Amino acid sequence: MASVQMRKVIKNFAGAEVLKGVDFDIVDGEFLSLVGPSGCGKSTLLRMIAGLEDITGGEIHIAGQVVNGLAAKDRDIAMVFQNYALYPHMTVRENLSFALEMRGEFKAHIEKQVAHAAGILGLEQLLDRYPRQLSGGQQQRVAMGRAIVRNPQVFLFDEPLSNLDAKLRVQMRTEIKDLHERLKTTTIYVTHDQIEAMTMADRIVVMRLGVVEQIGTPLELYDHPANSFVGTFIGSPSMNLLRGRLVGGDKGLVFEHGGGQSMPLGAALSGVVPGTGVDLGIRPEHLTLGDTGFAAKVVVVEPTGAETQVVADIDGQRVTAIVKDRVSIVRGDLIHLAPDTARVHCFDAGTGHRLP
Amino acid sequence: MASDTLSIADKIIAKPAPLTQIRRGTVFGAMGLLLVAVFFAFPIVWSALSSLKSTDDIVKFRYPLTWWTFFPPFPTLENYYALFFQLNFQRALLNTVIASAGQVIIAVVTSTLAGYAFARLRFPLRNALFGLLLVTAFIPLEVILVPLYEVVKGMGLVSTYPALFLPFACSPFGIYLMRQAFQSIPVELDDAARVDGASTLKIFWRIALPNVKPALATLVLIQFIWSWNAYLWPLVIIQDPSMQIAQVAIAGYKSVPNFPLDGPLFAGVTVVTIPLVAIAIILQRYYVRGLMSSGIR
Ligand SMILES: Nc1ncnc2c1ncn2[C@@H]1O[C@H](COP(=O)(O)OP(=O)(O)OP(=O)(O)O)[C@@H](O)[C@H]1O
Ligand SMILES: [Mg+2]
Repeated sequence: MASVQMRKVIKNFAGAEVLKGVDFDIVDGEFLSLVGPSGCGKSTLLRMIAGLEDITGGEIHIAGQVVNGLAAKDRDIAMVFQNYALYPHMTVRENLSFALEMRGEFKAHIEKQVAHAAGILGLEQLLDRYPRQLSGGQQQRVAMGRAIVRNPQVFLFDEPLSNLDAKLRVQMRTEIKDLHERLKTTTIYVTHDQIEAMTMADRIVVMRLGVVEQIGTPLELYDHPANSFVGTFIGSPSMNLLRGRLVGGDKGLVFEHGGGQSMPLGAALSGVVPGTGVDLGIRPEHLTLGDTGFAAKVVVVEPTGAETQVVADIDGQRVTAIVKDRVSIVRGDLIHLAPDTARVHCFDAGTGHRLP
Repeated sequence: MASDTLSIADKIIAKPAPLTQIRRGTVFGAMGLLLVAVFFAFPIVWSALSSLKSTDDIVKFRYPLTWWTFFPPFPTLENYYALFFQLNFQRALLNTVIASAGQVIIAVVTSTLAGYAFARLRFPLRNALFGLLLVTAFIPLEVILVPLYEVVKGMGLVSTYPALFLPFACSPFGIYLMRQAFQSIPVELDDAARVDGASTLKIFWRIALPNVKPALATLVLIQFIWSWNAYLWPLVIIQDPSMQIAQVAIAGYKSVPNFPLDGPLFAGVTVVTIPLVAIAIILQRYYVRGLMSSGIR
């Protein structure tokens, strides 16, 4: 177990800057999730921590030691790959033993470790099978077994669940989380699925285009996104953004939507200069169906049983609302959606930054 | 109702049609393959049958064409007796085995190592070197025969075993084949092994090699056939008759003045063919896959 620090980490691929100075710390024993859209550099960063890619600039510390010049095998980290990368010509037992064998450990010790890891993951029955004889979920488990058998300083996961079907993914999510609770090994978990990140991580790092956009606990990111990108990236269905501007009114600020409708925000957003162009961020569950609020036209009604998602059109802008009650509205109906003004977010329309 | 009738009719008419097509295709294909097989097998079988005739019978029944042109009228093993007890053919055979084994071993070592380097390692001029290597594949032995002879002679290797395989230690085809095979292994396996603590050589040995067995079988087979059948180079470089290989020895049976050795010659041809057929059968389930997965066919 160890802490990990990124210090202005830069990565160039043939002149293209893929990581542009990444800076964050991972506390000993923490489960940190790295999220961001495809191509933002998550895998690259993880591979640099693992020692599989050179570090163009900056420093990476593991357990207080700069590892820039250290080969992968000397970093004492374990990695789980998206396609599992199980050795196809080795049995599960041999797959699990490989790293220990490379370390030159004694046979008896290896056997004990493998049995221990297999026990944790429920692989005892599969030890003599080959990877091709395993289901996707079992392969996934072997890949994790290969990581935990070494008892490494840090676990690195690169989208380990994306090859599994939805149900298994939820199940493995719980298992990985449970594993972390038991082993308390520092974990860096890359995913582009924000729900995975939200449910599993102690803290989340949101990246975009090689830059860290925000770091925080899942609920910090959810409740106080630093910019409109994080706001819309975290949460599902994603946050609605209404483009408009803020104007001063008798009772404080008023949001004036591009389509013409306006909405008093009360004192909820003090300290904002009137007149600025903003994106008003409203989470779907903070829109209430009623007699007040934005007038909107229903586009689609999607009942999921527990709740209903209503997609509506406010003067040409699509918004999604989540309604807890059963509703009897249909496409084309005129409704009113009232935002919970205490919980709306204001982002600068130009920079996307959160306004205080 | 109408659509129901239609769909049933569709099933009746449409479904069996492709089936017969497939069957017809299979039959024609099989017949074609059989024809080709007979065409290729004929001379081999003929010489095997001829090896069971005495030299006199071979000469006597050669013309006019009768059944006895092909089949032995009085089957005998005298040719094999002559081959092994008078002509000392086993020595020539041993020389061939040593030359071929040497060729296969050295080519496997160099082709796998170089193929892996070209597939996975990053070094300057990698692609240029690889292109240059491929170009050398198009230079026939005849063109470099004389300079090659001078080089090997200069090394003092005339009439030695290494002279038979050392000049061909680097096989452009073998390197190409192994490079393609190594490239088809997912890079993540290398990455995983590296994180697991393996060095490049360990990855080569423990991860890469076991996953290219089909290509390796192809390589072994092709190198074996090539060196087993070599003729021109051994003829030139081996001047000591006791060091000569089987193929050249067999050819020599045709040039003994006033003493026809046609019977032992066919016996020798049959003996040297057996290992080729055997290794082809043993390795065939690998090498077919190997050639296909390397995209050569
Ligand atoms: N070996 C490489 N050579 C050149 N460019 C690369 C290389 N590897 C990655 N890149 C580029 O670096 C950027 C980041 O890639 P990376 O794989 O880290 O993205 P990612 O965030 O993991 O995306 P995904 O969610 O799709 O896996 C991409 O633009 C990619 O094209
Ligand atoms: Mg990735």
